[in-house]
Amino acid sequence: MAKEVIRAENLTKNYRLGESIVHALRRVNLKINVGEFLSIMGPSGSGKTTLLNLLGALDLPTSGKIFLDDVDLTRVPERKLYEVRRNKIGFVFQHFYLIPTLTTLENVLVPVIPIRNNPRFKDRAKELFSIVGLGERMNHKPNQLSGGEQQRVAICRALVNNPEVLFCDEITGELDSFTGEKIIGLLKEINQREGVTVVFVTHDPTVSSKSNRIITLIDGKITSDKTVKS
Amino acid sequence: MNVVTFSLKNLKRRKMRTSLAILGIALGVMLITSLLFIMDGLESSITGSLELLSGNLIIQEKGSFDQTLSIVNVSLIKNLRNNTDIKVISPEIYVARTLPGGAVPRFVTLIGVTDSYSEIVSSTYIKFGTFFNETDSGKIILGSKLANRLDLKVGDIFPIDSSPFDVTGIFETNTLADVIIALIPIEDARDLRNLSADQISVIEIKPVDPDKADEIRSYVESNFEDYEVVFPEDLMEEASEIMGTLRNTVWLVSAIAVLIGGIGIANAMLMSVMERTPEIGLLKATGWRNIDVAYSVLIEAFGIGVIGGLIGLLLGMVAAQTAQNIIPALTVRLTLTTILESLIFGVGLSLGSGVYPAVKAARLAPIRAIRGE
Repeated sequence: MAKEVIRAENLTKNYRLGESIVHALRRVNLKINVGEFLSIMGPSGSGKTTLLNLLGALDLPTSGKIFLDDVDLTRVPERKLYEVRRNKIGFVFQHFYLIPTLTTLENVLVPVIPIRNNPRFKDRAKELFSIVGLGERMNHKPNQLSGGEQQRVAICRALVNNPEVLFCDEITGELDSFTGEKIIGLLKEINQREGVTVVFVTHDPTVSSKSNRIITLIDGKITSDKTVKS
Repeated sequence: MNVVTFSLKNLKRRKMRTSLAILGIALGVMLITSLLFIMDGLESSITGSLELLSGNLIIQEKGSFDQTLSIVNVSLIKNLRNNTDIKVISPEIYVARTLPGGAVPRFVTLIGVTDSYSEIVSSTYIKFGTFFNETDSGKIILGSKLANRLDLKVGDIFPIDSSPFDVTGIFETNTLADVIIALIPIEDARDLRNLSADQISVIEIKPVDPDKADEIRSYVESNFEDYEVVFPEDLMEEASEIMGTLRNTVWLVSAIAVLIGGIGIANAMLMSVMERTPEIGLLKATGWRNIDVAYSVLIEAFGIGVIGGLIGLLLGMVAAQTAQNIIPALTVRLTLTTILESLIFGVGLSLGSGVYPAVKAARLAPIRAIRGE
């Protein structure tokens, strides 16, 4: 039986928007196993990004529990959450958030800057660069790279700490469809090669069709959970 | 790379903004250091002038505002000769004159002296040339900075009221005297002042033993009620009180200036933090602790403080030196205390200004920050 990495129980998230309350997630239950390549689909406002942020320890639910490696994230104090973010999770966003004055290699090493003895991550960063095909561009500045290349740098940055789960939020959103497909292909390669669990949010069916499992959210509820044969 | 190098690289991202913040601190520190350097110089020059007289007494007319306004009758000299505690008696006539042209300070005090004046001053007093004899006429000894300012050397001519005076010597005391004092034979001074043969300005006295100064004072003041005795020590106490007040004022004024610089830094840092909100969100999403983020912002503020402080220090030295060149009466002294004090003040204030932006950045919730909220 496959080992479970993430489990969400009755996950509920409400936002206050002026006078009214927005129910972003309503009692969501979800289990994700190690090594899955999973996409979360749904229209705008369906709560998919909210779900991703909760699973990735970036936000706390209104109620319910999130287990990562059997640790309940809702009971980890805020000042300790950084350990989860630093050691177990990688995030890639729609925007790349690369620092323009740093080289791409330095950008990839940004997450480990506060860690003592961080030069040991340099080899890992170089390995990632060769995996994503940017081995020759480690000393370039981000503005010398195309959008797809910048997103690949952002992927390297998310993987530099060897996370268990890689969360991707609309990462093809700023790319043309050809480049977007290549990025997803790359993610799949990394998923197979390194065994890292990948969870990505998209509203593009061609993108989600590349995944092994598609979860569809509508109005904060999971309406379908399909396993796709690859 | 560590947090320090990362933060210092961040300073390069908005070069204009960083430069302006640095300039704000630099100008504040420049103001402090230049004013304090001038203060230090003034202080040492005044205490130096008074120390030069230390041990000597000046007998002047009671109630006279200063030596140039005092009139003493020469008969007093005869009476003082009977006092065995007195070693040297130097009758002096003070003449105030304005210098030609736009020189600053514009006045010069000519002191008419006799041969005994050479026993009043120290043996290293004359730097170039020699003392004149009291029977000479048309001779003058200039203070070193006065000579410098007028571009005069031994052998040159210095005109007073259109009569030529030969420069026979140049003295140096490293005090204010070098800037405003010149010595001439006493009879020349009498002519310039139109005083009668029995009138002089003051009598300067050197006691046999400095400890006898008080006894001489009470002897003079009880026997000759028209006169009073001035102790340089009294002046020194008064001067140091005035200097203390002046120093506090200088600090207050410059503190306000640096505070304004600090507000500039706080503003620059706050803008930079707000602008980078999504980036800070990303740092936190990748596992930076609150303290790492705060530390990074503080390092930036510290960097601005150190660079601004050092530039300010340099500018302050230049400003003080320039002030001295324009106004020769100012003696500038670069003291280590002043350098350290103003540096620490500038850097400390920069760090202080970074605290609020640092705390604000550290408290950003990662996901809201990434969305730029």
